[in-house]
Amino acid sequence: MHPILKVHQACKSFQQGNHKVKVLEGLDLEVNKGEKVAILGPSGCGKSTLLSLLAGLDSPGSGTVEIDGTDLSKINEDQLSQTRSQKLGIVFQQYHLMRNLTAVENVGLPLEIVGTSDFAERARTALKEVGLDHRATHFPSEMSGGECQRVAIARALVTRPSLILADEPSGNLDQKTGDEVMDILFNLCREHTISLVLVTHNRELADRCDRSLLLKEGALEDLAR
Amino acid sequence: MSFILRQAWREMRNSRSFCFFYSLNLALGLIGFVVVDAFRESIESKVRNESKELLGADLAIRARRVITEEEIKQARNTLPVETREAKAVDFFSMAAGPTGRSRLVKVVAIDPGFPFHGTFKLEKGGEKSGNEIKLFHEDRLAWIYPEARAQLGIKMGEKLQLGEAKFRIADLIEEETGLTFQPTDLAPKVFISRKFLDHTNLLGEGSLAYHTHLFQLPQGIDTDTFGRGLEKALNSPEVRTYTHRQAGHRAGRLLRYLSDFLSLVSLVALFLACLGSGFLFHGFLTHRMPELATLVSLGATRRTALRIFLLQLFLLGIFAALPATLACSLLLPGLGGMISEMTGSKVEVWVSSRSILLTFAVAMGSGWLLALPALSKVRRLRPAELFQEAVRPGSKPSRMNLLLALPGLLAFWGLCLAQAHSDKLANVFFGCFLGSLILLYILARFGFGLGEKLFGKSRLSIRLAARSLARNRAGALTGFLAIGLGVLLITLIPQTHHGLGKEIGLDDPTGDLPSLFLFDLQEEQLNAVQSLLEKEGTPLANITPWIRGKIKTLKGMAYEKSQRQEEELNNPDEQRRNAFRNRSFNLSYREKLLGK
Repeated sequence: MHPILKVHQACKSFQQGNHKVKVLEGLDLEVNKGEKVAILGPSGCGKSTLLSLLAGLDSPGSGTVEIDGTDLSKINEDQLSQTRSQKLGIVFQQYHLMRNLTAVENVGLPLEIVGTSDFAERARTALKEVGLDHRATHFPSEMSGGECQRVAIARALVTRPSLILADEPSGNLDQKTGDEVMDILFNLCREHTISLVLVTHNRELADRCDRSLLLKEGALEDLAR
Repeated sequence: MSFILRQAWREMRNSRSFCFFYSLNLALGLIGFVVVDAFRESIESKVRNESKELLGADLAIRARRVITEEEIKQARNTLPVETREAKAVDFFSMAAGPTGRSRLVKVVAIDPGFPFHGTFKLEKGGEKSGNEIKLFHEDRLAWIYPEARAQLGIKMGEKLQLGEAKFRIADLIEEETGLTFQPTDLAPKVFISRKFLDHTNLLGEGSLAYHTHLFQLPQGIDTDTFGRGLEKALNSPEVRTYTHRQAGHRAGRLLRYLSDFLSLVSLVALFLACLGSGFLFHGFLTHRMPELATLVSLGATRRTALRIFLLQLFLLGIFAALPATLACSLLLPGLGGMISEMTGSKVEVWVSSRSILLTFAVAMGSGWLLALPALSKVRRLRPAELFQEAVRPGSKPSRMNLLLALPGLLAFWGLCLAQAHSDKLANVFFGCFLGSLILLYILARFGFGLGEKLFGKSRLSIRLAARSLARNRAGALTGFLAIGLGVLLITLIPQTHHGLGKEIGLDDPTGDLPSLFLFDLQEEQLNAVQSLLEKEGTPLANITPWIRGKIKTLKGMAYEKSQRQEEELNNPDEQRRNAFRNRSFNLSYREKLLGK
C-alpha cells in the first residue's frame, strides 16, 4: 500500500535581497491512510512553506511531493487543481470562508467546483456533521469564530478527501472552543479514515496525533513521546 | 446553471453597492454615447429616406447663371421621354413690408409642379403637393416663413414688396421640401411663382441667382445612371448635376460633421465613465483577492476564477447598457423637437437597433478591456499566502501591468476612428487625448512624490494626505486622471469659443475689422450705392474688388474634378479634398482688409 502523502528530499529557498534563504532542505515525510501527523516548530521555521508545498499551491525547488501516488510536479495546473479538489482538504487558521456565501454555500463550494450535482444536499449533511445545520443560511459575518472554523472543517471534509491539511485550526479560538473544534476534526478524520497533517504550536494537540514531527533547520525530526 | 454563472451571480448579489455604482457610472457614460450615436443615425436615415424630398426631384441641374436652352436640350437628350421638368430660381434679396421695414430674404421662384417629391405644409392651406398648388401660379402671391413675417411686420393678406413688384401674402409655411442643397439658409425663404419673377425686375445682367432645372424620371428608373449620363453630356464646370442622393448628402453634411465631433466628445465622457468603473472594479478585485486565493486552494483553476470575473463584467455591462438604452429610447423621441430647433432641420431622433447593439458591445467590451490590468492580478495570484498569518493574499507585483492598459487605449482609438468618420480628425483627437493623458500621468506621478517630500514637515493632516496620495498610487492616479480629463473637457468649449471669438475679432470691438459687409455689388452698381449711402450718412468705407475664380490647371496639369461622386466618399477627409477641387475662390488684389 502506498502512502497518502510522500515528500522526498524537498528543498525550498527564497531570494531575500542579495542572499538566498534556505527554508526547506532535503525534507522527507510520509503519511499513511488514516494516519494523523502533527508538525511542530517555532515561528518562521518554514511550516507555512511546507503546507503550501503539500497543498500544491507552491512547488519545491527540488525534490518531489506525491499525493495518493500522484507526483504534483509532473502534472499541469488543471490536473493539480483536480487533485486538490478531490484528494485534499485544507483548514486554515483564519478560516478563509467566502464572506459573500452562506454557511451551506461555503461548504458546498468544493463540490460545485468539481461539478457535483447534489452539492447542496451533501453540504447540508456535512454541516450537520459539524453540528451547524441550524446555521446553514447564515453568512460568516453572522457566526462566531468557532462556528466559522466548523464550517471550514465541513468544507474541507465534504469531498471526502484522502488528506486534510490543517494549519493551526484552533489558533484563533479560545481554549474551550478550540478543543471542541479539534474534537470534531479528529473524530471526523477517524470516522472517514482520512489522513491528517496538523501544523500546531500546541504540544497537547500534537500528542493527540499518531506522530509528532519537529520542523527544524529545514528538515523534520521525530519527537519522542 | 454552471458553477461560474452561479458564483458570478452570488458575488454580485452580495456586492450590491459595487454593482450599482459600477453600472451607474458606466450607464451615465453610455447615455451620452447613445444620444450622439442615435442623433447621427437619425440624420443618416433622414438623408437616406428623404433625399428625394430634399431635392424635390430625382435629378437637377443647377448653375449660378441662366441655364441656356442648348444645355437644357442636351440634358433632355440624355433623359427618358416621359421625364417631367420644372424650373426654379433662388437668390437673396431685400424685401419690404407694408411699414417700409426691409429685411434680407431668400426668394425662391418656382414653376407649377414643383416640388415633384415632397410637399408644402401651409398654415392655412394644409399640406399641398406640387400638383395641388395651381392657384398659387395664377396671381402675384407669396408664401413666407413665420420668421419673415415677424421681421417684416407683415400680416396675412398684406403686400410684400420684392423689387418693383408687390406680392400678397397668401399663406405661411410651416414646412417645405425641395432645393435643399445646404443644411442652413442665411435668410427666411419667400416663395413666389416664377411666372411673376420678371415683374420684380430684381434679376439683371450679372445678378447672382441660382437657376435650377428639376427633373422627375419615370418610375423604376435608376437615377444614378442618368445622373452620370447627364453630367457627362453637359460637361460644364458651371452647371452642376445633382441626383437626389447627392443633394441629400450635401444637406446632411454639416449635421454629420457636427455629430462626428459630438461623438468624439461623448467618447471622452464614456472613457471617463469607464475609467471610473475600471477603478471601482480594481478596488473590488483587490478586496476579493483572499477569496480568490481560497477558491484556488479549494480546487478551482485561475482560469475559472478569471471567468467568474469576466462573466460579472459582462453582466454588469448589460446592467449598464440596459437602463442607458431604455432611458434614451424613451426620452430621445421627446427631445426630437429640441434637436430640430438646434439644427434647423426636422430630425426625428430614435435609438436604432444598430445603436443598441453598439452600446451593448461597448458596455461589455469596455468593461473587459479596462479591467485587464486588474484581471492580470488573478493570473499572478499567490494562494500560498493563505497560510501566512500576517499576510493578506495578493498577487505578485508586475511592472508590465501598465502595458495591459494598451488594448483599452487601442480600442478607444478604434472607436474614435469609427465615430469620427475621418482618420485625420480621429487621429488628431486621439493624439491630443493621449498627450493630455500622458502629461497628466507624468504630472501626477512626480507631483505626488514631490508633495510627500514638500509636506513632510507640515501639519499632520497635510502630511498624511500627501503621504496617502504618494503611496496609494493606483487610486490617486486614477482620480487625478479622471478629474484632469474632466476639467480639460469642461474648459474645451469656452476655450474654443474664446479662441474663435478672438479669431474673428469679437473681443476687439474697436479693432480694424468691419462690422458689416455688403457683398456682390456689380461694378456698374457701385456709384449708385456709394452715393446713396453717402446721402444716408454711412459712406462705404472699404471697397474691395473681388474676382471669382476656379483652379483649372496646376503646374500645367489639368486640375480635374474627382470622378467619384461625393456621396461615394464616405470619409469626410476625401469629401473635403473633393470639395476643394470643385471650389470657386473669391480673389482680391488687396493684401489685407483696410481700416474702418
